[in-house]
Amino acid sequence: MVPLSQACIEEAIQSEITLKQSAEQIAKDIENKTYDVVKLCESLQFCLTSSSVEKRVQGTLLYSRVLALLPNDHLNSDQVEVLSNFYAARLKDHHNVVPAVIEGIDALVHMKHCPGKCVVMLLQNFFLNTTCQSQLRSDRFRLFQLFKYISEKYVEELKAMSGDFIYGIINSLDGERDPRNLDFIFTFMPNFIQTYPLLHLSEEMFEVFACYFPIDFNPTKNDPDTITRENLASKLTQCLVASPEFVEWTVALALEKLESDLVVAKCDSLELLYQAALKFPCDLLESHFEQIWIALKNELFPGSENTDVVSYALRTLRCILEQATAASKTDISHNYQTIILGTILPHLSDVNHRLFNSASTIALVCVAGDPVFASEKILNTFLIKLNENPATLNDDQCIRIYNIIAQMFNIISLKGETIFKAVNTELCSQMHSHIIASLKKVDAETDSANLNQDLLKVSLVVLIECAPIISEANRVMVYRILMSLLTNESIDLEQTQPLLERLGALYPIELQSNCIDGCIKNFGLFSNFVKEKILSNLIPLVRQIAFTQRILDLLYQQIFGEGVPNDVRLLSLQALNCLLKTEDERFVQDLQNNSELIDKLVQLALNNKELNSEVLTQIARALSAIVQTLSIAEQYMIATSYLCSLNLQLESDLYVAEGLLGYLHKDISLDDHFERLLNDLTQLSLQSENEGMREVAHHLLCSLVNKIEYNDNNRGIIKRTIHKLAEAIKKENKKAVEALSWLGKGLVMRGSNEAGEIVETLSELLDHPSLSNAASLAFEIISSEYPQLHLPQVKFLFQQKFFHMILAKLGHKLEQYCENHLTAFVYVLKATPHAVLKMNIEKIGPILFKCLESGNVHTQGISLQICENFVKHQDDYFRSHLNHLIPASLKLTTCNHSMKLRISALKLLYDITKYPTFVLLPYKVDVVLDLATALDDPKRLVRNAAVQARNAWYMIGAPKTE
Amino acid sequence: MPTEIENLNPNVYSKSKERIVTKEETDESIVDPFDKREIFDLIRNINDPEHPLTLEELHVVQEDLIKVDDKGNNIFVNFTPTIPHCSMATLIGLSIRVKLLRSLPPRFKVTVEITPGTHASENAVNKQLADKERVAAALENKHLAEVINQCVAAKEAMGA
Repeated sequence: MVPLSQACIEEAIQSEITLKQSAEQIAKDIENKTYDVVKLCESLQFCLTSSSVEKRVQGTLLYSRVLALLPNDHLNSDQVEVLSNFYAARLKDHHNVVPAVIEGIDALVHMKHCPGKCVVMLLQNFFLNTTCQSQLRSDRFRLFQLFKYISEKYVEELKAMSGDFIYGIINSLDGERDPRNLDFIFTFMPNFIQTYPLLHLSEEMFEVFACYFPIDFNPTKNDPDTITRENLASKLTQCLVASPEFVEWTVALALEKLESDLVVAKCDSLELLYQAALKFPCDLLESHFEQIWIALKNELFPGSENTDVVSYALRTLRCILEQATAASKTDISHNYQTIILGTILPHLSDVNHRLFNSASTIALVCVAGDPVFASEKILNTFLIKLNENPATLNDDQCIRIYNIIAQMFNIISLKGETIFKAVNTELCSQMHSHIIASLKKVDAETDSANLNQDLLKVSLVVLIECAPIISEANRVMVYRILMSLLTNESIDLEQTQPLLERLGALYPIELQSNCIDGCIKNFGLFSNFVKEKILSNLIPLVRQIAFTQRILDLLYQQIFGEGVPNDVRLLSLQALNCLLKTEDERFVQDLQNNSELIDKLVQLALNNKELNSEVLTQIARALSAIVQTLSIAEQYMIATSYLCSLNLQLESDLYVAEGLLGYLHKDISLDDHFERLLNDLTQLSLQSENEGMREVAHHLLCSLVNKIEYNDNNRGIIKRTIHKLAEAIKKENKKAVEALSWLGKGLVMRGSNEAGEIVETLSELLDHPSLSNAASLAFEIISSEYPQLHLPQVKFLFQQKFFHMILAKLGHKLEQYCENHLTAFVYVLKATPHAVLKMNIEKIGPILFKCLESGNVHTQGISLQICENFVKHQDDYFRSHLNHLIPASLKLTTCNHSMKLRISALKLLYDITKYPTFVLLPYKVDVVLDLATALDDPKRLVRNAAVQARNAWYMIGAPKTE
Repeated sequence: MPTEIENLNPNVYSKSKERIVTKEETDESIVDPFDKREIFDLIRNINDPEHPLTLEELHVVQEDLIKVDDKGNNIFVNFTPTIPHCSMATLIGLSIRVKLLRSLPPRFKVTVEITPGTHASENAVNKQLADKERVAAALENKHLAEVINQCVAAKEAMGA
């Protein structure tokens, strides 16, 4: 307890710390009813009435702090009223006392029982006796918080104050400069403006905010408050559009600042106009539209160079137009459209005019604003141009017009079906006829080289976009054209497929009788090119119920039917695989359940001796695609039921095994078969001469050892296999090296201990007189990625670990730059993540430079790529070694044996130009002179790269205007 | 550069597509000769000094107006100013020359001329462009070099 004696109080007000402590204690005492606020006031009398300003400040501060610390329901309304009167009187005191008074007022208005009339009285006295802007930053902030609080809580009482209150607030805000305060003001004022009638003061209120527009603010670095220019700007914009009464001034302000040369000012103004269009009712904005359009036209027509400005301007225009349509103000919307279209339509009829592009963009915005009205006018203009004179209209112009029409219909279709159907059908029909006529050239022209495929493509795109509104008469023609495109012997357009899909969804019966039936019935008569095309077009239709069965029947007939030639079977299987890949799991499961696809495929592979390896590969692919979608139990059942009867030395059986096992789930135990599989596969790898089969065997081997459960038994089997292969290697068997490396790949990925053993064996082989080449290739096998392989067991960061393991193993040899070791190491580097290489750059840098000088094309190529990657990231190590890198790359630009190498070297030289000018300048003359040789390279692609590099080097340090 | 733009609304034509890489071009053993298209590709992306458009889009340079004699080491380029009294003609010609100078092997003799009958002072401009000394002197001029570099450099900025 603080006894309220003068001595105690004198002590309490001596410093900030004692004041705080005493305030807390006094507040507690009052709460415990040891004494009350009146008693406190009386005790403080000596300092509140002291002739020393300092004492009055401290006394008031102590009192205010105590009030702030009291619970907000402690005082009754009478007490608050008395205290309010007291504080109102204190506002007349010395300027230095006012901050303490503000603190007290802040505490009072937060009291639960504070009567509204006290707030009004306090405010009146405040506005009368002092000003907000003459206070310190922190006090102003407190005041703004206070204004926010009371404006939300005492709405009725403050509204009754009418002009006085608004005027006082305007006065308080006017001239605020601190960004933290502004951030707060901009946040609460929109709500304030919407709540209180601004009366005759609306222009004054607007001006308070207008003077900040557009915001120019550069936050200092390391600023703890996260106030950004963008944040302030967007909040200010909300203030400027807070009241519909602002409309006139807002538009004028935005248009004035839009004329500025600053991009930021332009963007802010356009954003303000956009928000204005969103917030203000369109009849208020209508009278200003012409001004706005003129200003926007300056930015859009022909268009500023800054893409941001253009896109902001387009967004604003679109919003204005859309708001008019959304409010169902047809006359306003038509008025807007007429003004805009009147300007742009003349330019739409001349495709080569400079303004065509910008006019067409604005036209699309108009369509977005009022689809029915604008599309009619625009289609009309285009139709006049298209029907004018076929001789003056070339394909190129047609393509550009069609492109815009396609985009237009795309926009309309997004607006919903009712609007889509409301578009003028007569004009659409004419348009479609024109497009169909362009497409008919397919029939008339026998030589496909004379056909403009781009024109066909874009015509189809238009038809896709407006499929629901093609008239029946035109649809008949479209089906005919589709048939001729599908059966054409030389043209294959990817757009036919989405068009078929669209039409199939809309008119299944028509499409069935006009296209699909014809394709299926005559399928056998078509050439392979057409068959493939038809299949790829029909496959996406499988998911539409109307066609599912027919298309699947056709597909199965072509895959499983007897006497189907291998090539047709191959392309049908490819189509099946495409279907399996694109459809979801459920669909594939249904396929398997309904037609036992796996069994059929296995029987097909095993019972037909004439199938070639390509067909078998596709069968394997289809099998693994289906197996993946099944449950683990089903996978196990299927795999084990076939596995026993398979003889892996036979080609067909091997491929079936790959299909069944390649993507088998890793939790399925194959322990019973593992030893036999491993033995058979290694034997095949060591003995077979068929490279295709060996590859399949290797992939299976790798995938199996990767996912098998790693128990003692399986581990023993793997060890025995490694031992067997090591024996074969001793007999200088190259195939054994290859098999071992695949085995190693599977083990390295899962990070098993045996992997180290294999890598050890392989690195020793790098010194072997006859097997060194195979050994270096083994490192490529281990480190390269094979997306088609199923390797589910991946140890975290295995690439890094492998890199460090190899670096440690080959380290001393690499220092002597042994050719085979370099080759092997560079394959590992290729697969190692960039970040890991960067960490070890001091070690691998010299090795990379040595690799650039090696005689091996692969080594040079890979190391060039790695260097390029570093240079692209502006690496410092390479920057300090440019004296090595530049001559080495220049030498490679003239190497005769590989154009790829020459191109990469030139690309590297181009990328080097991104380093700072002062680093490069010493090399400029030499590089420019040396690159002249590459300009006369026999290969054009090399010359192109040389031109790019040399021109970039010319620009280094050359006078440039920014 | 004059602040007043002479031809405010020139016709703009679409760009031709990127050259498709053929099988022969990727085959190491076949020699690709210099052809019209290759020269056209070198100069089509030069920027017009007045507009943010390329010479190709303005039809100032066209593939058909280029003659290439690879064996005879001769290249001849005609360019067409958008309007007959275009004061930029010399600058455009100079840009084409500089770009070719930097991009072609020194064995070629390059001639850049205005398409006959398309410019008021055709002969004077042609004479200037043919004069090696004057071209070299023009490049010594810092301000001129700036403008030319800007015209020629535009392509690199777009990622070539």
